[in-house]
Amino acid sequence: MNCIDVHRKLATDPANRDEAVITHLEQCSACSSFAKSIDQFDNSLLNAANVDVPDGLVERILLKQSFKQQRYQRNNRFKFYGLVASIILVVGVSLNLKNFNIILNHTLSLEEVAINHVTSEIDHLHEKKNIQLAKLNTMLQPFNLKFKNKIGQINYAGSCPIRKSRGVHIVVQGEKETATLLVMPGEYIQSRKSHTKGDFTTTLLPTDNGSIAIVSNKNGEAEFVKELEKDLKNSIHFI
Amino acid sequence: MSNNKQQTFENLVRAYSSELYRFAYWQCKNKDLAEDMLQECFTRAWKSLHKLDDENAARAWLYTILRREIARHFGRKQSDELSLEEIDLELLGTQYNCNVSDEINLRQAFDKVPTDYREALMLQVLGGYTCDEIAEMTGSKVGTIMTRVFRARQKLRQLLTRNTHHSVNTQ
Repeated sequence: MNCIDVHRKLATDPANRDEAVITHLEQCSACSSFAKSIDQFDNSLLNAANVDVPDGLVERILLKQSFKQQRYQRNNRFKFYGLVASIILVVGVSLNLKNFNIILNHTLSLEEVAINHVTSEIDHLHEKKNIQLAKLNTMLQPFNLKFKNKIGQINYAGSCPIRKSRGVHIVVQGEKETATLLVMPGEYIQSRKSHTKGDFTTTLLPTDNGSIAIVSNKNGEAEFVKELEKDLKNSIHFI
Repeated sequence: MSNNKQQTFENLVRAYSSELYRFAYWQCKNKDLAEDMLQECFTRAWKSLHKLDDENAARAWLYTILRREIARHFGRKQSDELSLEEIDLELLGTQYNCNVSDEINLRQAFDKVPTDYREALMLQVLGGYTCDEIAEMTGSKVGTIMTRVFRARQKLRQLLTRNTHHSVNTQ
């Protein structure tokens, strides 16, 4: 390592003295003198650069950080509330859409609603539960209604929402096919009426507390439906 | 927020805020702005503390954050690279045995050193970093950093020599 190398090292990295530099300095008085001058110079630089640090600097940094942290947590809380509000909004909109369907149903005639209901729950037409009269009447009790006599084999009976309120969905077995009875409290009609839509025909019968729909296959057993209508009139009793 | 993170942060602030403040001060030449820069530096450090997985790298990491914060504040761009060859022509015969006892003169002289040169010099003098380390921190070539610190010292030496002569002549 020659003098130029040593000067370069000392002038650019005064504190970084490797073994080669130290060996050179021990043998070269000119470079040693240069090293002393630059050491002295750098000490002065360090002393001058070490300006006073303001009192309480650390505490102010920590304090500001704690405030920022609090603000961040508060903002996060607002974000959480925002999220909850969004969820409520989505649920609200969904419920309104459901209500919209209800409103839409109100724009349909009751006969169409009855047919739509049967087609939307078409699987019930294939059930074979053989519900007994006593059980059926227990189910009808909340609607202040009961059947005095058996109206045929009941394959299915269940409570379900029909337009304004809950009603009862009953599937009755005929000789070859089935028909559906929809007990619809609150759905008052003036008189018997019929309607055909798609594959189904519905007959609406007025009752004391609303109406009953008989929904059957339009090409089905006409006699079975007629008998069912007659049985209903004879058997139905309002409590 | 974990207590562990809070404790690490506090330790970093207590360990390095003084030297970082001094570095910021010489870059900003203003006490209040230096403190603001330091606050911003630690705010960014807090946000990114999870990225710091080597405690030995913490100091250099903080210097890098602070440098970037100051550069952002002043809208500074990366300076041109310098050639190491520029040093050699001026190197031999230079002595640093000028009168540097007057700290006020030296501090005034710091202000007159170009920013990039002063930054490299302060990283070396205050931070104790080698040219290799400064080059890595600043993303510059080692030769550029060597030239900057060399030129910074040369400039200071010249200014102080002039000041000394001026003082002698005016007496």
